[in-house]
Amino acid sequence: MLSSSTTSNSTTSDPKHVAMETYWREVHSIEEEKDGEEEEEEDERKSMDEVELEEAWLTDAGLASLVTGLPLADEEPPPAEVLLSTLTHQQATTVRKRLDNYNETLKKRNRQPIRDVRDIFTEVGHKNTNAFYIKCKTNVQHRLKPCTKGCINCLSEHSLYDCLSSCPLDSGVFGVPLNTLLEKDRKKFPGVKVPVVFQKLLCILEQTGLLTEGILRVPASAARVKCLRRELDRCYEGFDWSALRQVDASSLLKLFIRELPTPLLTHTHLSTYRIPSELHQVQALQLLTLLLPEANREILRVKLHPDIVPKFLLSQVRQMNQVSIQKQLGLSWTSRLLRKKNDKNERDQITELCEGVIRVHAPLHTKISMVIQLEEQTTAKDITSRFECENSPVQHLYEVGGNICERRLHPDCVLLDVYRANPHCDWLIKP
Amino acid sequence: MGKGCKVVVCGQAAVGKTAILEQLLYGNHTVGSESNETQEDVYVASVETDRGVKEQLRLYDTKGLNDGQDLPKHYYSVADGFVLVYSVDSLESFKRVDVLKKEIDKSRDKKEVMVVVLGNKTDLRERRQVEHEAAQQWARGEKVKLWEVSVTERTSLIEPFTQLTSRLTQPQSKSAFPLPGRKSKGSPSNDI
Repeated sequence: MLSSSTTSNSTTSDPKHVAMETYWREVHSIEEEKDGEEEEEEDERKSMDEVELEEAWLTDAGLASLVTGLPLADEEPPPAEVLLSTLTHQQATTVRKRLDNYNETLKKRNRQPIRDVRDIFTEVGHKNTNAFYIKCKTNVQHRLKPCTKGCINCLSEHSLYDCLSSCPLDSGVFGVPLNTLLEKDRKKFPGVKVPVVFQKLLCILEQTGLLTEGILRVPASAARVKCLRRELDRCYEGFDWSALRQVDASSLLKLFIRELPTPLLTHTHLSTYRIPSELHQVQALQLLTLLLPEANREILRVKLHPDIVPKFLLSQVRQMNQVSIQKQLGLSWTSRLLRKKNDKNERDQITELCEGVIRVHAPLHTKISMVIQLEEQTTAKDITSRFECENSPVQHLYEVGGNICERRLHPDCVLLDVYRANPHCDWLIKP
Repeated sequence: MGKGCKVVVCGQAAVGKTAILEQLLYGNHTVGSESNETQEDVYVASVETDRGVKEQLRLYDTKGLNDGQDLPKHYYSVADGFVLVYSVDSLESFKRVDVLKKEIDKSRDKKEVMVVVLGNKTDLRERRQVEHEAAQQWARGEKVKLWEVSVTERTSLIEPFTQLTSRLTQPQSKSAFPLPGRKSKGSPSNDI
């Protein structure tokens, strides 16, 4: 009794544990749902085959009249009854079984599939053009956002203007639903998961934009962007990507996401994005990502890097530096050896450090260096506090060298992460 | 000796190596306070020798040795001097000092290496396991200087380090070029 109560206590008293359990349950149920969908499709395929089989059998048996009729054979039972009455009892049951199976599967096959909201809207749109869409002579109706009230005033003026002015023949890029873009791209590059335009823009940013200050912050000239946009919308296959400036690319990227007919994270689960607890927030966000349409999820995956802008760019810059350092070292093997030796002498590095252990230098202190084993939770503050004296000024920990020039670390910065990103840096304490 | 002599402070784990250094340099060590295990800390101390000259000393505070662990070999090649520390309440730590001393003799080659030995925690009188006389006898046999000290008395720590520094920075021989900078200047001050 006592033991059971304590165990229940221990499980409930750990909210993290409970939360994780619910989280994984959700993940599994989402995955199962997806599997279920696939199975359903399989069922459908099976039923198709069955219908054909039964039909063939019945026709062979000279009972073609039973199957050539309307799918809903129930409405005219007399002919079947009449036919069956001419057969022996055993034959009659066999035929009836076949027939029932045939009708059953036929019904299943003809069942209305679950309809998507978008399908309904297109239908209504076609029937009631004035209320929901402006039907241009070009095929732009899917690019305008129908508003729930059904009035055209709510259409974004901007996109309306652009649609009408650039008027592409179903070949636009901006404001086009992701799926449409993807379908088009897949004709050329089968299996593509992220629209090619988006990939191109990101690629440009990664290749050339890393050294530009404020790459995602500074906007490009509005006129240029407008012009480029029109150009892209007109015909992006023939677009000259090499002439694109980095800031233009970043502006176009932002524009692309902004102009999507539905936001990247969709409206569907909007209310669930506001959750107070941080742990739940993260978990919910992950679950919601699983619920997103595939196209959205894929684009989010690619885009997520630049979303955590400083981190992404920083890691890219680190990588670039790393490569250039390696090049330097590769060029002069001897100088590398020399440098290493010199470094050693200068820093009194007499012990080779193991994984996760750093040497913090504090040239202004009596204790000029300290070797510290980093724990999962060690922050910059923990380190500086070990060097603090009674009346010393505020000190900061710096990450110096390796694949970065110099960076002052925030007191709450988790050092193991920095260490992993820049394992060869020096750690310096100074004001 | 370049940028100051390199002195490696080593010994059994938890004999008070870090405590000795912190008390010597900052004078703020509280006996019995919680401590983190040292990995390897380097201190720079300015020590006034008995010739009245200030000398820089680089003190390497090493990780305490547990059973079966040896002092990493590279320390032997880098050090100009050693401070071997044991605790008078642990016979084992004293034996460890003996092992370390023999190891130093083996690996020092022709290099002159200064060794001093400190027996710490003399304030724990009732728990003493290493008798004063026995320790001194051992020291005489090994031709090393041995002091019994306590972190609670900072003054007991100063003499060993002053002597160590004096011996380390001693001019090699009379025939060597005299070093004018080494002459005593001004009034002697107590830096540590």
